Order: sequence, then C-alpha cells, then structure tokens
Amino acid sequence: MHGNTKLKNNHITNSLKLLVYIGVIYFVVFIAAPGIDNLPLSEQMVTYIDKYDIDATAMFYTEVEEFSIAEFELVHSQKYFGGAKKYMKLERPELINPVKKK
Amino acid sequence: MSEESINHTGDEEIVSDKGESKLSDLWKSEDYVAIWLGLLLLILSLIFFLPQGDDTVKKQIADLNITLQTESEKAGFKTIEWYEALDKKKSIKASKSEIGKTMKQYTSKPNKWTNNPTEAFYASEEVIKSKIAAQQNAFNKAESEFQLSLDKAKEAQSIAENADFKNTHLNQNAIDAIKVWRAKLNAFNKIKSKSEIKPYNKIPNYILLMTVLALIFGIARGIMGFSIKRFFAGFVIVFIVALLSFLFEQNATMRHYGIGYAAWAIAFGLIISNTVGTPKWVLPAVQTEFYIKTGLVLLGAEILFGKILTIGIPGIFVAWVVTPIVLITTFWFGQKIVKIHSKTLNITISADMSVCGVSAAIATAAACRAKKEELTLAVGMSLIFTSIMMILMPAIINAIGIPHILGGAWIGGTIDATGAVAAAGAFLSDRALYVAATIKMIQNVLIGIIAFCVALYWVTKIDRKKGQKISAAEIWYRFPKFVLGFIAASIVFSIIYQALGKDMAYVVIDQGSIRGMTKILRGWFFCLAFVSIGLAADFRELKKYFKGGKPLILYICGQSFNLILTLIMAYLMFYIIFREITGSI
Repeated sequence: MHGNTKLKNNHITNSLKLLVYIGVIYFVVFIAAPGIDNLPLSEQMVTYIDKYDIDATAMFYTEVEEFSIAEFELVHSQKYFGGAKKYMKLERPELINPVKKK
Repeated sequence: MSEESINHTGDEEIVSDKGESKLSDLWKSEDYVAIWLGLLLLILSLIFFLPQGDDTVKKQIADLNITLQTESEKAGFKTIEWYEALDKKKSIKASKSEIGKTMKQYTSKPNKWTNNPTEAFYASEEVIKSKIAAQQNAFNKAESEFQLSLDKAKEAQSIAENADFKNTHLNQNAIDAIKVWRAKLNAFNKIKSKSEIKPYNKIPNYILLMTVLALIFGIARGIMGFSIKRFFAGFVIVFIVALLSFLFEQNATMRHYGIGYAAWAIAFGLIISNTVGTPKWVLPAVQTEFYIKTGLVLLGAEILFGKILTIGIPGIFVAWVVTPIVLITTFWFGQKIVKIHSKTLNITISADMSVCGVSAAIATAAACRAKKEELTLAVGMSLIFTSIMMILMPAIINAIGIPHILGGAWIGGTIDATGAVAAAGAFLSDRALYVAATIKMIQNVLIGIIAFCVALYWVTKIDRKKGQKISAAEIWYRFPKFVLGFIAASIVFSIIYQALGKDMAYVVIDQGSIRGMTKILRGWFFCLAFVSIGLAADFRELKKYFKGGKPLILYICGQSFNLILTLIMAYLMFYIIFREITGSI
C-alpha cells in the first residue's frame, strides 16, 4: 500500500517534470528565440537567412545547396578564367601586383 | 546482455564492438552488418542514379561546355550568355528524374514552419492559395527587378561589345551590371521556388518511410539474432521522436541559429528518459551504435577525395594542414594542461571543434568508442558556439575590413557547423561564400582520415596496457570494423567520381546518388541515433563530464588557437603565395 503511494507520487512528479520541460521548449521556440531575432546584432543575419532561405542547421556539405553552387561556380571560374590575366585585370584589379601599387 | 537492459553501464554505454574474430561475425557483429547494410544502400543508389547520365545528358553538357568556352574567350569576363550556360548546366541533376522525385517525396524532412507546426506536414489547397497570394506582391517586385536588371546588363554588355571589349570603363560597367543581375536573379529564384508549392500531406509518406526503415533495421537485427517483433514495436516511438526532432529543426526561428535535429533528438530523448522514463518495450529499438555505424558507411560516400583540389593548394593548406595541427594541439592541451579526465571526451571535443562539428564528433566518437554522454556534450557545445560565431564573425570581418575571400576562408576553416558556414559566408558576399563553402567542404572530406587515424591510435596506443606489444592480428581484432566500411565507401565513390569526370559526376553522383538518396537516409539514421542517445542517457552523467567546466575551457582555448592559425594561413595562401588563384575566384 505504502509502496503503491510512493510509486503514484513518483509518477506525478515525473509527469510534472515532463510538463515543465515542455514549457521550457515552448518558451525557447516561441518566445525567447523570436526575441533574439529582433536584437540589433542578430536581426541583419536573420533577415538574410530568411531572404535567401539558407539552411544553417546543415551538418555536412552535401546538405547545403549553397555549397554545391559555390563548388560549381569555383570549378567553372577556374576552368574557364583561371590564370587569365585579362580576367584578373578586369574583375580583380586589386590583386594585380598590390605591393607594387603601394 | 539482454536487449531490454538499460544502457547506462558497461560496454553498452560506449560505441564499440568486441575484440573477437569469428566467421559468424560477418552476420552477427553489429559492425559488419552495418557495413553490409550501408553498402547495399549505396549500391542501390548507384543502380538508381547512374543510368540517368545517358547520351542526351552527355550531349547537353558538351554543348553547354562549348558555349562556356566560347564566351570565356570572347570578353575576358563572365558574360550573360556564360552565366546562362552555367545555370543550365547546374540544373542538370539526376535527382530531378522520376526515381529522384519519388525518393524525395517519401524521405524529405517536414516542411518549414513558423507558428503552426501542422504546416510542416499538411497544407490544403486553400492554405497554399492564400500563401501564394500573400507572396504575390513580393514575387511581382522581385520579377520586375530581375527583368530590369537583365535588360540593363544586356545593354551594358552590348555597349562593351561594340567597343570589342577593349574599353576598360565600358567593360567595368558591364561587369557591374551583370553582378546586379545575378543578385536579383538569385533573389527572384528564391521567391519563385516559394511560389511553386503545391498542396501536401506528408503523414502517409512518413508512415511508409517508418515501415521501410523498421524493415531494414528490423531484418538486420533479426539476422544478428535479436527479436524482429520487439524491434518493430520500439521503433515506432524512436521514429516518432526522430520526426519530432526534424519538425523542430524546421521551425523558422530554430533554423536561424543552426539548431538542428541532433540537438532536438538528444533533448527530446533526454526529457523522456529522465522524466517519465523510456519504456522497456522501446529499448530494443534504442540502437545508437547500429544507426550511427550504418549512417557513417553512407557518409563515406559523401567523402569524395577529388573535392580537395577544388580550390587548389591554398584550400589544402587551410583545411588539411591547419585542421590536423589544431586537432592534435587541442588534444595535447586537453591532456597536459586542462587535464581532461576522459581521453575520449577530449578527442571528441577536439575533432568536433577543429574539423566540422556534429558530423566529425559522430565519426570520432564512434572511432574511439566514446560514451554517449561525451558525444552529447561535444555536440551541445558545438551548437552553442556555432550560433554565436555565425553571427559574430561576419560582423567582425566587416568591422575590421578584412577582404571577403580571406574572411570566407577564415569562416570556412573555423565555424564548426557546415550550414552556419554557408549562412555566415553568404552574408558577406558571393565570393566569401564560395571560399568559405569550399574550405569547409575540403575540411568535411578530412573526417574519413581522422576517424581512421583516431581508431588506429586508440587501438594501438590508448587501449594498450603499459609495456604490452600488440600484434597486427590483435590490431585487426580490436579495430572498429565499420570504420573500414566508411573508408571503403569513400574510396569507391571517389574512384567512381574521378572515372566519370567532373561534369557527369556532378549529375549522377553529387546530384544523384548522394543528394538524391544516401544523404537523406544518412540524415534519418543519424537522427535515430541521436534519439537513442537521449533515450538511454542520464542527466546526472552529463553533469559528471562537465565537472569544473573543463570541456568548455578546452573548447574555447582550442577554438581561439584555430581562429589565429587559420587567419594567418589563409592570408599567406590567398594573399601572398597564391594570388593568381584568388584572382580567378
């Protein structure tokens, strides 16, 4: 009988704990994080991520579309323009002998 | 050990296999079964996607390459036609085939949502219509801005062409106008994709996916001698918690800070196990190691060694020279100065911080048989610092006035999580993104070698008793075999990638087998693993590992060293030694 009451009390305590954790998650997702979104330091980045729909949660390069685009553009830039003095002169003038320029 | 036992003590707590070798290991040992399962899925992915690179695709690519070549010789800068050919080539993907679309339909994550979580799974025609209508103004604005910028770019290019592309001033005008057009096109494409959504109901798809995954792992467990029936019952709960983790990852605000499924899966699992408790009947499906090992074999296919040359020698120096130096120094610092009690915790944090966050932490923890709580701690710290660095680094780079290519390399080499690198790099500029993403990608590739070296080091040095000599056979017995599957998948896919050539490999491997199938499944496997970690872990154990804040001190010191060394190396490589490579970016 005493054991049963203890078990029931444990069950109630654990269920209450679960409710508290659910409350914490609710607070983080729906109140705290949106609040941080509006802080001056993060606001600009947040707007940018939303606008370009960047997945900042990705774990590996294959999960981010931007990585594929970046690699594709780099490979093709190097293949078709790599080492081309004319291209560097036009698009990257700051890199043509910057030391001499100074 | 009974399947039903709670995994809080003994060997079950660590990611390991037993050092015995029998023929039956090939179908009884978790490591081998994970390898076979992973390889089977990889072979299926090749069967599905390799045939998509047929003669029509080859001809299309050849024609576009001619345009790219002709245009690159014409003006000396990237013309509108050059970019249009590039965009067409980029859009040729095997994942757009019927099989790719079907795979995506049944395995993709829940949709993005802001306030209403049901939007992640279901949207009626009315809801979609109202969403499209709400975006109509933004769509129209983006479309007209894009069209206007294209007209201006065409005009500027035409004027430059009339002067035979010999007038520097006119050329510069054209380059600037084309840059504006690219930015507007990018913005328009993003909003266009949001306007192309159709009504959806993902629930039946997830029921099917759950059944397929339960069958895959259940049958494998059955072959290993465990009860399939008990596995199925428990798997329903593990899968539902995994789905819930993906749901919270897809929350718009959580995406801003890179809080992905790994964090949610561990959190939900921990909350259940430390409040109402993980029901005993769920435990047969709480198979952290099995999910991780199978996921890692799939991850092997994403580690393509050909990628390390994408940005030439500077990339190799920033990602493949700095990273091991930081990893070894941080590990040494953790042992000798901070005096971290657990070597496995030390190496997991060091790899997580120096290589690429969660994925490196998983691979290293599995290779050195770290405890679940140690992996949890490493992942948690990485997520917190990633969120902070993702916002601070671009702000610092802009405030100091660091050139964007250097800033991109710095971001790529130091921010742990891959997604956060994309966000921080893109925030600076396209060029910064290209460099940041490429450096991170090269660093991602390093985890195969690091996992192998850590496993070998642990078997031959750490697990060895003082003065004990270990024979080659003993090394083989003790070596975590799944690491071999992980490396084999990487080598085989790297060879196929090289053999196909960059263009075709992009279509059928990068945008076919990997992005169309294996990376999606790998994501589910890792999520199931993280849920299992949470369901079997104990809050009190976590506190024990964090004692004295030593892991935090290790992370901060290691990351500070990483920041300094990466910046110096990136400057030397991109602005002193290999300026011509920087010039072509």
